[in-house]
Amino acid sequence: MASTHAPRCDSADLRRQINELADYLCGAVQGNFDLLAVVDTEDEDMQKLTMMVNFVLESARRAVCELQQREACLRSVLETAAEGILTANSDGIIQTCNRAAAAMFGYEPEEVLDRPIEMLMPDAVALTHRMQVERLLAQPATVSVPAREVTARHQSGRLFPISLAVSQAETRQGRMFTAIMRDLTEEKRMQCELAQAQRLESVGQLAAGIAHEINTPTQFIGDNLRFLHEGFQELQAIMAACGRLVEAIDKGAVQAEQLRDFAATWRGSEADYWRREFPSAIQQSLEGNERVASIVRAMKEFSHPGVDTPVLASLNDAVRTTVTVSRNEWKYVAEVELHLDPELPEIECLPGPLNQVILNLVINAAHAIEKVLPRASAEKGTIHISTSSGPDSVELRVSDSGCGIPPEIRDRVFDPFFTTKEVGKGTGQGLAIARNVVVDKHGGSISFESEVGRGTTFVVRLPLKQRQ
Amino acid sequence: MAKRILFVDDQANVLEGLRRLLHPYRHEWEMVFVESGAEALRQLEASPFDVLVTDMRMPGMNGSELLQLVQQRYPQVVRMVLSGHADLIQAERALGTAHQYLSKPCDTQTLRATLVRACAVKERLADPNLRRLVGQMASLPSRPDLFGELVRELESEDASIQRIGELIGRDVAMTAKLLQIVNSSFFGLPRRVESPAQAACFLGLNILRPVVLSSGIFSRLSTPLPAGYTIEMLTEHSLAVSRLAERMARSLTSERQLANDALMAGMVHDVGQLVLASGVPEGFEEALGEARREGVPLHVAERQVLGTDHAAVGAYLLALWGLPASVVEAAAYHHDPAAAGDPALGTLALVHLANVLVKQRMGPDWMRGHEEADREWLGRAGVSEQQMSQWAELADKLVLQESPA
Repeated sequence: MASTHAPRCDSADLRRQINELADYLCGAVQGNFDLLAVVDTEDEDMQKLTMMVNFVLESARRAVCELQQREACLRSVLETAAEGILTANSDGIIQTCNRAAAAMFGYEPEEVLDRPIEMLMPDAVALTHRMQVERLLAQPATVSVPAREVTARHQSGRLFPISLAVSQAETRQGRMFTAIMRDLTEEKRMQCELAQAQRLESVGQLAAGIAHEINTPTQFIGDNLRFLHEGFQELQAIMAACGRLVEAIDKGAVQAEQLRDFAATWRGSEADYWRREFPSAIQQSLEGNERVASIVRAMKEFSHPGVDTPVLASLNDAVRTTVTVSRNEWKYVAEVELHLDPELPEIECLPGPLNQVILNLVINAAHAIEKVLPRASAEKGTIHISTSSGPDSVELRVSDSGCGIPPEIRDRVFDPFFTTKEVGKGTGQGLAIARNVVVDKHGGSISFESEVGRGTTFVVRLPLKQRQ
Repeated sequence: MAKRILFVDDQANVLEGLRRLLHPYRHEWEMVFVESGAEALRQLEASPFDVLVTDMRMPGMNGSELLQLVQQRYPQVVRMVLSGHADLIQAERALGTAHQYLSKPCDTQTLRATLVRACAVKERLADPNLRRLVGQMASLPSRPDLFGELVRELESEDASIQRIGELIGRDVAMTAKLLQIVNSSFFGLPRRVESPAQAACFLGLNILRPVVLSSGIFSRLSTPLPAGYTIEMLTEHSLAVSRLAERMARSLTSERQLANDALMAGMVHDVGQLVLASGVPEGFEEALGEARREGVPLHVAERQVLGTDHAAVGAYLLALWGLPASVVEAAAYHHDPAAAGDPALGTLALVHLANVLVKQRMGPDWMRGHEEADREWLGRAGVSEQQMSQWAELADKLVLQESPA
């Protein structure tokens, strides 16, 4: 490629120039792209070569720069992600850990790097962890584990719930696992508070109704007792007259005057009236007393304070209790018919929250019926509650003869805060809580069948046993 | 003639209990017990009743619907509620339609005494038309400026219950209504209160807000009153009598009860004038004109024109609303204490004298100087001449203090 016009260089010059170029390339290999090759040459071929080298160096510089930017971007995504993200190799050694992941567990990122991932788990979880990893390793790298709730261990030793999703990838260093984690502590607390608030709300609503249920029998028990008290005073006069007469009989000296006196006392009294009224006054007072007692008993059973782990309980009892405490909420609009399977097995459950579910369904049923009753009519609807059992679950059905659920809102009725009730009648939490209790807390299911204008049936299925 | 009482409750056991409890009154009262509002209306249609006692929550027609119908169709019937409901909404609903409210469980004594008084209310007012007029009234007109101020205060962010109580206490109609609310157990409050201001405190803003703003039982005077008569006139006079009677009571005894009763009775003793001025304005205007022309006291002119006077009408209203007997008596006989019976140094005596003393010192011409105190009756009640002159001095001082000039 020699040019006839260009002066020739000698080989020593050429060697020096090649060495200079090589130095530049060396610098570039070491990451120094900033300097461009400047070779002092008259040789056209050498100039061309230098240009090519500079061109390659510049392209490399751009590519590296872009890579660096991309990496910084990726890193900042990782670092600023609210989710905790960490990677571990197939031996379970932590390779990378973003800030959120470290903070979630109470560490600095460098404190966990190169350490076994088991340090983030309570012992019980760590034991099964290795087996799960082996199982994953046996499967292709495309298999991932969808998010599920697991218990994690904070640096302080505190255990807390997280949501964990795991994916894997094949790298040159072998299988690499990526864990994406979310702290569920706050979410759990909110759920708990919301459930508690809804419970308080319905207890508050119930309280007014229960007061009425107690005030009414208290009124007539009091009236009857006052009546018995006053009647008894008159009876005492008659009994005293009887006593005097018996005394005279004993002495064998009954005088006509005494007999006349007694007859006068008897006639002056309302003995017939008392005799007629006393039995029912007593009977009704006893009934009233039993009513008050049964409401108080049911209230105690309804709330089940302090039970937060599953216990064996009867769904039939829960239905009876709830129907009793909520009587005032439905009795003006509906009759409640119970068809409870007498052979229903007891189930492992949280009785308090479950009562809450039944209460919410009963109150909804009453409200749905109230909507279709003509105003100021003595007509009532029906709430039909039945229980039945299957091989490994029990079923509760709450049916009403109410307005039904329009098709366009059927997929929203379980949404929190969704309500069609007027202000003050509901907060839209009832069915959301019911689903949370049935599905999340008990592993059961809740669904409904509804026909507008005919009524709605809610079906709750609960497993006999809770998974540990 | 036996009084007729109609009891309505969807619980048969409650009715049975009441029937037995009231057995001792079977000769004085004819009692009918029914289990629904519809049945109650049938009974009312068939024959007249004096008193209606109803439950609030019942299937079909509920208590407030029944009360409303009875208020329209049979306003002369005394309407009472006997309810076991603890919630405010029920009580609020009953406010505009029921005269009195009793809570279940209601003790025997209160229940019997309340019924006895309700049965006797009718005797206070002979004219059946006026009884219908009063029986229908859910509210009385208030001074527009005070009512406006009250509404503004209640709607403001930092409403003060003291200020609200004070505003209510300066208006005759609002005081009477507030006393009805606290004396009847509408909201389950203590029945004995010292003053309208204290009653307001018992009720609290949560109850007073809806009661004043939306229940319609507090209302602003909106129709013109007869010429020459203003609501400000009545208010000024009533306030002065109320303050004087209270001070007089305090000079007699350190016991608060008499002073409290005197304060409240003094404020509402002329409430009958409001009823007449807004209910039968033509008749009231004629009586007012006659009082002016002839120089006779207003109540005398009222009797000539209307056949009755504001004292009887006011007492009927207050009794219907279940205010304490001492307040009702003071309103009924404040012009003529001797008609009340044996002399006694109580609320009536104080209001009677305070009324005369105030009228001698303030008010428009037609009000002034036509009335004399019944010195003979007061003397027998134990008021000495010396006491009288002391109270007259007290009246001078108070009226001077009060007069805006």
